[in-house]
Amino acid sequence: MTKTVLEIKGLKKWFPITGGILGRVRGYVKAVDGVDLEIKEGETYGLVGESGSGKTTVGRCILRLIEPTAGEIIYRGQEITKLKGEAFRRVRRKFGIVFQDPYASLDPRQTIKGALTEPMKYHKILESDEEAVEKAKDLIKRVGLNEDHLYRFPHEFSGGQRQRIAVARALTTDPDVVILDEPTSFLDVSVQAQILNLLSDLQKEFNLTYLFISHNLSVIEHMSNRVGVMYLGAIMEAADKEIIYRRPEHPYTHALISALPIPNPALTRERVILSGDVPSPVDIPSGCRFRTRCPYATDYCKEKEPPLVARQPGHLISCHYELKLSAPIPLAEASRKT
Amino acid sequence: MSSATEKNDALLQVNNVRLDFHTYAGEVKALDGVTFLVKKGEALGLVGESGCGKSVTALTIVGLLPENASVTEGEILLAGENLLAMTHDQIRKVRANKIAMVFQDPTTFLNPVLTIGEQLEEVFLLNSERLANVAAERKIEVEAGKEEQDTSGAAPKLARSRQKKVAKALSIDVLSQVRLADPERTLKQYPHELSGGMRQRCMIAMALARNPLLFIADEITTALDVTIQAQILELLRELKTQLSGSTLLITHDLGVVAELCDRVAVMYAGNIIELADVKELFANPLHPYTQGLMRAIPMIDRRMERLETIPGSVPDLIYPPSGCRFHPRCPFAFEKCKLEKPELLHVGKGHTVACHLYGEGKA
Repeated sequence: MTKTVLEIKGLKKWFPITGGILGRVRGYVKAVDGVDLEIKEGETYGLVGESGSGKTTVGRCILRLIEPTAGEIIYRGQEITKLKGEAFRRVRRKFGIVFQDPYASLDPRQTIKGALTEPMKYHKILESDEEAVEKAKDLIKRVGLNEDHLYRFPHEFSGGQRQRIAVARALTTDPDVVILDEPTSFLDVSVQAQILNLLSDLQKEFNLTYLFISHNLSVIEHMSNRVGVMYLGAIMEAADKEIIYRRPEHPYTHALISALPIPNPALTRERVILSGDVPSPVDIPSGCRFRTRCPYATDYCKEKEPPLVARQPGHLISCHYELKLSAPIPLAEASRKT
Repeated sequence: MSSATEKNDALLQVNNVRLDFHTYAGEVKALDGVTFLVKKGEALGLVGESGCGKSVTALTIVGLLPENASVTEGEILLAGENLLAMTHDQIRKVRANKIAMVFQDPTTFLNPVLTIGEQLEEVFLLNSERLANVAAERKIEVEAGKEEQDTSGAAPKLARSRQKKVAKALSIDVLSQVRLADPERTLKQYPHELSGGMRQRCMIAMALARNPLLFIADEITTALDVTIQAQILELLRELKTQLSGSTLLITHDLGVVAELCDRVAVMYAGNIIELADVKELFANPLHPYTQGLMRAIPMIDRRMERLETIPGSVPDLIYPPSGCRFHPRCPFAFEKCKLEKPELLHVGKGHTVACHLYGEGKA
């Protein structure tokens, strides 16, 4: 049995909406509204959802870049949401993060050397500056760049190269868990493939655990071992990748997978097209939050919110009904040339 | 190859178009002899990575290039008329009647201070003849007493109030055609009151309002979520069967192409490098770049341990590589590739490729 590295229980982040001259709180944007998840050692957990589903907020709450409103985050048995100062700093160095936009996440006035050595200095990982520079040199080579690049500034690099630098920076503190927040969505497909391969290699080399956040279902499928599907701030279904993509049991997962355009014109499949738009996270529907777009919704769904329960070990679903859903993608391995 | 018959059913012919952008850093050679044609009634996909020139190609067709761009060579024929030789006013008429374009981000192309109705009705009000015909057909009348006397006499021109009424009726039609749930309400709304998917539907409605010969869709689903993208793709698929015109679909997403297009043109660094029927292209990609691209995308319908990558990145088009622009990244490049630019070559029925690997008996 592999160990659980990170466990999240009942995580909530409500952003207050203020208004009027008195700045009174009028309501809340419920970006994350009760998320539970468990990430095991050495795995890649894919968190997938549409825009506004709260996946990025979950990632940021783990590092406490945003303070969660409620809930527990347990890292290797230790609750970290209440830790302060030096105690939290010691835990935080075990986490790395790579952000979506490599054009915004690097300081334009800092050399790459600065970007890589600063976290080491802050966390007092190494004794001397020389050691830090040595380590930076080593890391920059691991991500496929060379030593000369350390003395350059971010504007001298392409998007793909910047993302490599961001990955190197995430690894400077010898992290245990790396949060990858849409690391390839700004990149072209040919460059995306390079970064995804790099991430897989580094995971093996440094024995990392990944939380891979993305809206791109194909990328999540390629990278993850287990997948959690988010909708309006909550997890709808979580299971091994094969189950999510081949035999989903939640109607939202099913619609999401079947909606994905597959680059194979020979493939014919049944498509579930959801009507309407995602409701506002200010005004989440009563009962099941997916019911307004669910083709199977009943009156009961309006009244009671379905809990996230395990139907089989390791397969969590938040739905009142046990639906028989068709396979969203036909298995076509045999008919395809690779 | 019977290229004569192919030319006959061509709606749009883009012939050897070269285009430069003048920038402080130098001349950006953005299009390097782009050649393709769009047949009547078909949907052609134009795919490529960012900076390959696919959007610039579309902007050249509709004559909306920025000031610093200049076309140095080539012609674009729409039903025989050269769009590049037209004056500003002439090309404006083409945009009004024959070509419609929808862009990636609907928010920037809708006027935020006008309602959807005002913007949509304007399209119809430009064509007074059509309004008169529709009014006669549907017997749309204004309340008694409000009808103004038409002094000009013979020409079928309606009074303004009546024109507006007809335009409104037509707007409602076209909004329901794009499957907006409550067209009458949408007409009264401002763009900010609508979601991204609804705004994109309104843009499509505006494009359809003119019943164009050519509908250019530039990355129209890129900014949308997967489930909304599926709705728009479904809509486009439906409209494709209803409309007589052709579609030029520009995208970087091979999945979208596979779903919607009849034929596909692949662009790289300002060139069309391969063109084929959609099934043929996916089953049998010939150009090393197309092959690389297909192996680089993670696909959920097959298992792969590792993605194949194309080494390096897209070239700087101020100093483009000599010969074939793909040669520095190509695993099969040989001497000739550095020296000579490959021409588009027919290699099978409807399949053309620009690569020296397939020339002179090497196929």
